[in-house]
Amino acid sequence: MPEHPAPRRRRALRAAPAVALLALLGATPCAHADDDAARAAFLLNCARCHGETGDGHGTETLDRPARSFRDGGFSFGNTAEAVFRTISHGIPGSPMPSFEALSESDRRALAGYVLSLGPPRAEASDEQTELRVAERAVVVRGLLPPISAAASEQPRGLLVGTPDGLTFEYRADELSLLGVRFGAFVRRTDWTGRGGTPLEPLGKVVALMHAGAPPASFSLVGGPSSKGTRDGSRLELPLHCELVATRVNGATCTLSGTLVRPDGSRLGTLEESAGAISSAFASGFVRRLGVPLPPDGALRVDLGLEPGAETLATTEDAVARRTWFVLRATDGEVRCLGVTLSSGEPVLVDGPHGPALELRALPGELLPRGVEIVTLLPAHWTDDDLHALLDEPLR
Amino acid sequence: MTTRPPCTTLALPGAALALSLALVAPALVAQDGGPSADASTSDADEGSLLELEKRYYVVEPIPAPPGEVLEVGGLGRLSDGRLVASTRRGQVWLVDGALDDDPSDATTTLFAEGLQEGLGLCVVPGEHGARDRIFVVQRGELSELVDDDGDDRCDTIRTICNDWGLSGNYHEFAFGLPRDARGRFYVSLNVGFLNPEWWHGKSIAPYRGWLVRINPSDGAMTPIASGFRSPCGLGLDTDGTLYVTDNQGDWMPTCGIFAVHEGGYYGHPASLAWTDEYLANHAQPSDTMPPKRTRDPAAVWIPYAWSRSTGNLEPDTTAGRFGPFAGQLFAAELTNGELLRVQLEEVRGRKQGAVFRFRRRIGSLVRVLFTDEGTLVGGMTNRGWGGLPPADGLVRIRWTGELPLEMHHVHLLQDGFEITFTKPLDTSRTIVPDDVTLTQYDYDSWWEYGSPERHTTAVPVTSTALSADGRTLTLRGADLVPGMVARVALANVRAADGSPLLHDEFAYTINQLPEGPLSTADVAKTVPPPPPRTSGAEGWLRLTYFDALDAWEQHGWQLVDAELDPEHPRTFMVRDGVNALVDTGPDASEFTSRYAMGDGRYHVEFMLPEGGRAAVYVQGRYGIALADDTHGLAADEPSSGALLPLADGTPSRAPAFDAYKGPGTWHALDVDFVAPRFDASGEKLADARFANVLLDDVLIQEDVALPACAAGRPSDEVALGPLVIAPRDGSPLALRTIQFRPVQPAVDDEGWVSIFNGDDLDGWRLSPGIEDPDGERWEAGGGELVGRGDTSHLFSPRGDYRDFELRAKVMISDGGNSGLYFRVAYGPGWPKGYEAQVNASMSDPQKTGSLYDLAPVHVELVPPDTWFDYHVTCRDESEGTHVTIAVDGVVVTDFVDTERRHASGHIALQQHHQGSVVRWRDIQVKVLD
Repeated sequence: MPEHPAPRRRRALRAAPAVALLALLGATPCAHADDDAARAAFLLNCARCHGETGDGHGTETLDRPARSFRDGGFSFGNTAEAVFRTISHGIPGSPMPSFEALSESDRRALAGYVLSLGPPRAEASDEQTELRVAERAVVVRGLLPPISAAASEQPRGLLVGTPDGLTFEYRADELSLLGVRFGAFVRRTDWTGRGGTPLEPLGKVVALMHAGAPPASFSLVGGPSSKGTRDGSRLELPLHCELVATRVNGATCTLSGTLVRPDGSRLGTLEESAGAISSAFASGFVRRLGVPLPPDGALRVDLGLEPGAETLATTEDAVARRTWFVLRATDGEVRCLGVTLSSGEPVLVDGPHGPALELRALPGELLPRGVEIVTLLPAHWTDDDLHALLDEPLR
Repeated sequence: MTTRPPCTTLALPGAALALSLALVAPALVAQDGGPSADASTSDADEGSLLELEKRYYVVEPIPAPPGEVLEVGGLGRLSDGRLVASTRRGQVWLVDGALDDDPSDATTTLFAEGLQEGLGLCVVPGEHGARDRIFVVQRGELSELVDDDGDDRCDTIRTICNDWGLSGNYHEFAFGLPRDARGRFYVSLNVGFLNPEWWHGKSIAPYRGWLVRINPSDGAMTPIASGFRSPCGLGLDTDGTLYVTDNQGDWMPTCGIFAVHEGGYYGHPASLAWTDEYLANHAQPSDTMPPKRTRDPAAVWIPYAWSRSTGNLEPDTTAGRFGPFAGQLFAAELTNGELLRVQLEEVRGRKQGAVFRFRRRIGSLVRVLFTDEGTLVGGMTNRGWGGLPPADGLVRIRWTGELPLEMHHVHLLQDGFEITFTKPLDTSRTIVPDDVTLTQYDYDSWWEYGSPERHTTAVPVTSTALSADGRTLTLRGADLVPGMVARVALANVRAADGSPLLHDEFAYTINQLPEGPLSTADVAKTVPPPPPRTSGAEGWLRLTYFDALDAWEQHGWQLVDAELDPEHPRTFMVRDGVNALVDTGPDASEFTSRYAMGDGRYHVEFMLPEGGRAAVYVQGRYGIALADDTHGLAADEPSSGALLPLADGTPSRAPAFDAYKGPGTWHALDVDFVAPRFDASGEKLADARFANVLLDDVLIQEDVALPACAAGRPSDEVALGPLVIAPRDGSPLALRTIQFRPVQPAVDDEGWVSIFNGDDLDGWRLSPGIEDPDGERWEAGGGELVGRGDTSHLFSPRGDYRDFELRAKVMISDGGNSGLYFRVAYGPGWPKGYEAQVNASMSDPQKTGSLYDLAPVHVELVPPDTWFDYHVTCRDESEGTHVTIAVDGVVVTDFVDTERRHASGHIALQQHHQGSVVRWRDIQVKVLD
């Protein structure tokens, strides 16, 4: 009995068809026989309208001129896939018929031949499409693929690449941090083919905010615009964060946004910059925020963990004026969050979406409030590590 | 194998017109249709025309820095003279010295990067010594780029507005970027092109297909006008008129230039989804049916031969430094790679006018910008679209200073044109009516890709007169009609100084004539859609379309893209995709249809790896072998198309021909089957038969009786049974496109009563509160009942149907939705009763055959625009209300409602939303109780 192994699953290749067909088109020369066959098929099927040389001057009388392949323009795009589809489907309403009676491989060969008649198309190479970060932070806007299995594609996404190899990945329509990567920066796949494809962030994900699908990063509790519930608990009012600007200043990029209440009124401007930070104990990243605070009630800053995270330890670094909260997420990951405020004391609460910092304006306080949140990502954690956390200086 | 392309037949009075122009080869408007001069202009003539054009306008490249590619999408000029160019790669470049004597000395430096495209740019000059401001429209936002520290590097990117919809579709470009006198910006938004029907533009995110205005002081976005498809270029004229160019495609007969007014709708229906009317009614525009809304006219329709993809347009503000055309507009054309000239006038309050060719063979020009010095700067890109090389970069176009002979401007008369030339004509030779070729034509406004020139009519001119100064030629006596383009070509025209007429033709879009009643006919005329391409599918049930697995009992099968694994050719290599159903291991089950079927044609497409083995069992009982013979077959092993041995000892029967092509190749198996016949007591009267078996259209079995089931299969013979496709010996097997065309049994009319008389709706009632005095919602006649327009329901005269059978013929439009309600109460809104859903391609996942919400069918059995038979039975039984729904005779839903939700009621027909069209015929009921 013949052996029948299960089908081999290949990793999904985003640009696979175009890549496969580029090899057919001219990057490598075709076998002689294939070339002749494609040309013969062209003469038999296409030349009547498109001319023997593909110059658009065939013998057929048409109600509109046929395309000149030599000039390189196509109704539905000049990628091999687009030309193949047009050959297969035709262009309804125009004299271009469908050639689905031809086999798929014949149609693909014809697409390759037709493209070869036109001007050479310079494709950006991998080398050219990779953006690298040198000494200056780089901000890139684009379509982002889902950062995780739980996340969705972001048509308005934003990547900040820092010189120390971190990439901060944001959603830009509702400004929020989705996750942090480490490694190379990004490949602009949208510079190839017909464009409009997702960016390819190259770094490896080291931390996700809420598994890559965070709720609102900022919300309000208490105060006149917050409704109470019948049992007296306070409802959290999510704030919408509108992107206002990105500003690169040397190695840092600052994002600014406007925090807007559900009723459309503005709370104020938020600023955020992020970068790498580490100590001998663990490495991680730091977010430096300038947040507006409501006159009544409190602002909650989401910390990126799902509800049910356990507080393993809390300690103060009086010198650095930093409060550490060591949290274990529901998936077991431990994060050491070091919070420093320009005024007031950090208060950690269990919000409906997970742990959050709750900040209240102090009387006479000059806003915005500065909030620095260091996130260290140790590989593991025991109680002894608390000392290392405090002892090792951060840089 | 090739099909003959359709030709348009052209009706012309008299004999064929032969055209001879001084400079251009003959052969044009022939009796059986044909394009204008340019399409058959020989290369040699094009070449000589180009040489002529070069005398007057020179084109010079502005080189990019080595290794850099500038796919230009936006252009501007700083007060210090430097150019600014934004690109599709999200970069912004500063170019210094582009207008110096030698453009190759220009230095180009990077100002900004990381943008999400940049298909429009605007420099707002700084006032009172303040810095110039640079605005760029990216795919997702209108931004200001700010250099905070003056080092010619952008530091801050300010989001002015990011409120328009973005779905992630690759084609959702945002174009721009004119700025009006009040400082407000304009951005146009491309529709999306999705799979599988990539030829229909779709507006699936807010305001795709719209022109929007953005106020930079507060970022507020105001949608201005709709109906655009790929509005690649905008232009603001000095009189404040805003123009948008659109590209030929679905609903755009050719490239058009639209003078936009607020609230206008310019022809492509997809964007109507975001109008208040459509939003309020949850309506979806149809891809193929013309909407109620009439389209606003174009100021200019550009001949297809001259432009296939128009970019932006700019007014010549050089006060004569670019030649004698100050005040006229110049348009970028990307595919042919040329510059066009547009000259408009206002007639009866609206802009319309002429387009001329100007300078050819430039490159894939998509953006143009005039500089005060009189140079036109051009930006090029064609990646993904194709066009004349160069495919990217900057060029500049300058006037040599020599005055060409051109038709400077054209003025429409009631019966002709007044044409004023740039210099006096040679009066020694009189221009006569025979020197003038004037034709008129219009276009179809329809869902297919573009339109040929239609109704081309020769319109002779009876008189020609040249003014005393030799500058103006008046043509009169032409029987011009509005709502058509006039194409005028002149022969034998020469300047007094001997120079030839550089461009001898123009196309003038006549929306209105200067006098007479105002015309309501648009040049782009709504026509009934052509017969749908899928009408050949009538009678077929598609068992794997849309939701490929819904109609099948199976485990271990997956929907993937599959191809033969070149390294392990006994199996497939699969990846995410939708092209094949593959069993994913030896534990995969058989592939068994949920529906039981009988007489008809079964169509199964399959692919085997090397050594693959499978079988197709009609009714699960009668088998046809599929076998890959790459490594040979055992002596008695059946080959592809062989009939498997029967339980009664009948041996396998080899196919008449070996039509199997090999592993990794898709094949089509077609089986015409006749089920066994039984009498009332269940005794068999006639054997089952394979009338025909074809493999890739080769007949391999013919008229074979099947006295018993196949060995190893169930032995009871049945009138209806499932289609089973079984891999053998755990073999990998790939399947796709499984369809069944039932042979309908003879119609039994006993007891059936028509409830629709075919002519009128007497006795039927519309939903309460809805009036339809003109039959716009429901139209009856010729045996057909057609539903259109906004949501409404039509209730049968009788409202007491309880146990019955109900049958009808139905056809639903592409994107449309309807339903056959029964036991339904008369009332407003969505009726309360049972519904047999009617839906092919509309987004609702419940498709034709579903008992709505109770027993959904997700496979798209019947394509849109295809008649099918619907048969519903409804009967109270001991366990509940028993409902069956059959499509083309195959029962696809068999449901018992134990809750007995609806006791009795009307039969009703649904009209679901504006844009949907449903047709009903032969609606009949057989009451059972």
